Amino acid sequence: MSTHALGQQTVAQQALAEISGWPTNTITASTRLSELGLDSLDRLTLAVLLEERTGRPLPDDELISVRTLDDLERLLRPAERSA
Amino acid sequence: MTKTPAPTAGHTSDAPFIAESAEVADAAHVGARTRIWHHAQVDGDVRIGEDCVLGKGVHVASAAVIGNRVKIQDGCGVFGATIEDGAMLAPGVYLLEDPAPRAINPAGHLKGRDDWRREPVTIRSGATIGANAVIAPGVTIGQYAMVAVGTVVGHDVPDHGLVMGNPARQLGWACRCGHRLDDNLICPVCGWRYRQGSNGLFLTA
Repeated sequence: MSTHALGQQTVAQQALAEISGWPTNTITASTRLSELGLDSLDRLTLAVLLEERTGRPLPDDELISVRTLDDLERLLRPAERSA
Repeated sequence: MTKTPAPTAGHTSDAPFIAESAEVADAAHVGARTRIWHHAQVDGDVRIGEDCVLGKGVHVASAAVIGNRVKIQDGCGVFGATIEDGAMLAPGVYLLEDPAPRAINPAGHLKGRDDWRREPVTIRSGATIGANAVIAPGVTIGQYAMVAVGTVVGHDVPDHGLVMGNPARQLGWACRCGHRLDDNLICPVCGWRYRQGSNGLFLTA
């Protein structure tokens, strides 16, 4: 959230923009992945992309409950802290 | 071009249909109205239920048990698996059963028919396995689960689970109708609602 306030792109926000084709500045914390038109293959691509960029595995049982960008940021936060 | 086995008295129209080029062992059990197409091979210890379809070049072996209304499309290999009612294998699917495959035993001799441990796959009712997917020995695919094309599945998949990739990852949930559920576990196409249970999802009243 703080990175949004500063106008910086987060890793998750950038990845979502790349995969969905939506401009980064239109993707906010409350944006749902389904609103961006992500299908299951897109979600797999997103998971692999984020794992490569953060070096942190994203367990399927956690990933499957992700609905919004904010959910995704929360999932990635420990990795961001340790990076 | 094709031949039909001798019909059971009084059940002429229920006789299975077996293409002439298919090889179905006499000891195999094939249920009523099941159709077995060209160049398919069914071994003697196999049981196949009613109203099934086995496409071109399918091989069913090693005491596999197949339920009713199962569709197995062209080129699949079913080795020892249990496939429950209404399941579907798209073209090129392989269900494997040997967790430690070797041509030879530790002494260097060619392995024989009983020289290995069986750990067959289970496909629960209504599940779909996408084209060219491979299911590793011992894996259970849950009811109405959806395995995407080309997936390599090494772990059990829960009921209604939607998995894809190599190794398989669960990316969502599938409705009975085959479409992906939304975030609220509601099918956007047919409107059916689901809840989380002990082994995946179940349909709510």
